[in-house]
Amino acid sequence: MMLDNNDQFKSSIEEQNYFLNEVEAVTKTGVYSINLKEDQFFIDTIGRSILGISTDCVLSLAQASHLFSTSSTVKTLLQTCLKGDYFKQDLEMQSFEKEKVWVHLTGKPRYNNKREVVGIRGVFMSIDKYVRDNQEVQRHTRIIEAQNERLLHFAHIVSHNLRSHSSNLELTLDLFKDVVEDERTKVFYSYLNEVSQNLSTTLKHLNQVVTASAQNSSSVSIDLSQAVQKVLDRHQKALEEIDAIVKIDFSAFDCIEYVPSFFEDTLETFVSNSIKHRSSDRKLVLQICTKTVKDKKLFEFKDNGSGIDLERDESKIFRVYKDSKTKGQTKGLSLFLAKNQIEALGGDLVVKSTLGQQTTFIIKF
Amino acid sequence: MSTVCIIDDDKLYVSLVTMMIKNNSFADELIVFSNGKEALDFFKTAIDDPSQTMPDVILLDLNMPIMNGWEFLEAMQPFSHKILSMGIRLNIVSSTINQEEVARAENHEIVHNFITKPISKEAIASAFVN
Repeated sequence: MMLDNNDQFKSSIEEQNYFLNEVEAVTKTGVYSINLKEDQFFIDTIGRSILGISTDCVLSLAQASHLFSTSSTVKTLLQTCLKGDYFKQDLEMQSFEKEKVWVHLTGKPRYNNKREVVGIRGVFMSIDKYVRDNQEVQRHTRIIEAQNERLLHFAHIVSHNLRSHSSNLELTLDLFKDVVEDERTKVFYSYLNEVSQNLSTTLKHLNQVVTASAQNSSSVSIDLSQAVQKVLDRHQKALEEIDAIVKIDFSAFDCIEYVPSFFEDTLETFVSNSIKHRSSDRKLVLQICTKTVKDKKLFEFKDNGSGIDLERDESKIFRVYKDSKTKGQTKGLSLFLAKNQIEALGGDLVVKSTLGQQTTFIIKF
Repeated sequence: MSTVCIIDDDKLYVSLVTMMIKNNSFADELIVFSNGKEALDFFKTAIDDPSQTMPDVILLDLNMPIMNGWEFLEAMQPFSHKILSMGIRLNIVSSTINQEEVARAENHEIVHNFITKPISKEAIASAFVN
């Protein structure tokens, strides 16, 4: 801006040189020039520092060509300029000490007054740090991918093997049922049956988690009003008993592409949580609405219940079995499962709450 | 009365299903193999031998050592028309949660039914009916 508005800066070669040098230093950009007729190679101080060439070292073209990783690269770049074209590419060079350095290199032909190519000149910028950082990120990504694959495989095996045992337990109890006679055995039978059912439910949830990421292909268009009504109908009796008020507003959007079972399971969790954790001081009010914020589609579920102490429990809320009020039951998996399913479809589930006043769950699609 | 063939490596499961079949009088004879290979060896020779009793119903597990359920089905391919013409109902009984596997089993030419473990009395009954 200063250069544009001030003639003093515009006209001063010293100023221009100053800024050019600053740009070179900050961006670590070197300049070079090749004289093909006289076999000469020029390189500036920053260029020398990038490639580890001492300031008093004079290189011939043959020596300079060793700065490239392969002789075929030199040939290709040279031919490009001899044809009158220019090049601009990222490549791996070799410092004077034979260390690999990634640079962004440009080169344009230089002509004499007969329009013959007599040289090449250009700039090169060290991108070594970025390329190496990127390579490191890619390496980590590969490790994470492999670890994820192994974890999923592990989860599949665990869930499959556990299912075999739990199904045998169920089957045993099913057959045992017919021979239970005395009262004491009946009590123990009922305990075993409950344990078996809880184990099967936990496994069902575990299976849902394991298969969540594989199900994103089964998305269909969901009518939100119908889906919400279906879940509310299931809780109709409980909602009527406590005289709850349900306000629905789907004016922002009323349908969404989603996996129906994921959406229904999540809603089920929201509704049952709201009923369970309602405040004893006031009527339960549920506000269910859709919103569009910065082109992002949101689904909000708000209640005026007892709220959650987010300062204390935020990190625990989406973990497995962390719901203190459902200790010993399998319901605690619900929010963990909901978040898992929503994230598997590329969305997010967030919670906002004021203790003693309200809780809002927001699904970001 | 009929004959049931159970192909499963889980001994406890085999005992329980045997008990369930006997308690409910679903069959009076049982043939048990602990993997696909054992069952294949039997069917290879027995299928053309009139003196051998062929099962009316097969309950085949998928996840087994030596030869799993899928490998067994593939090896039985040359006999598939005989299996079908003899009215043998081949049912897959598995605790798999893999939807692709379930679909593959349900659409298989000689598979009569896919039954999820734990197997119930009703599910066993379904293995016998068309």
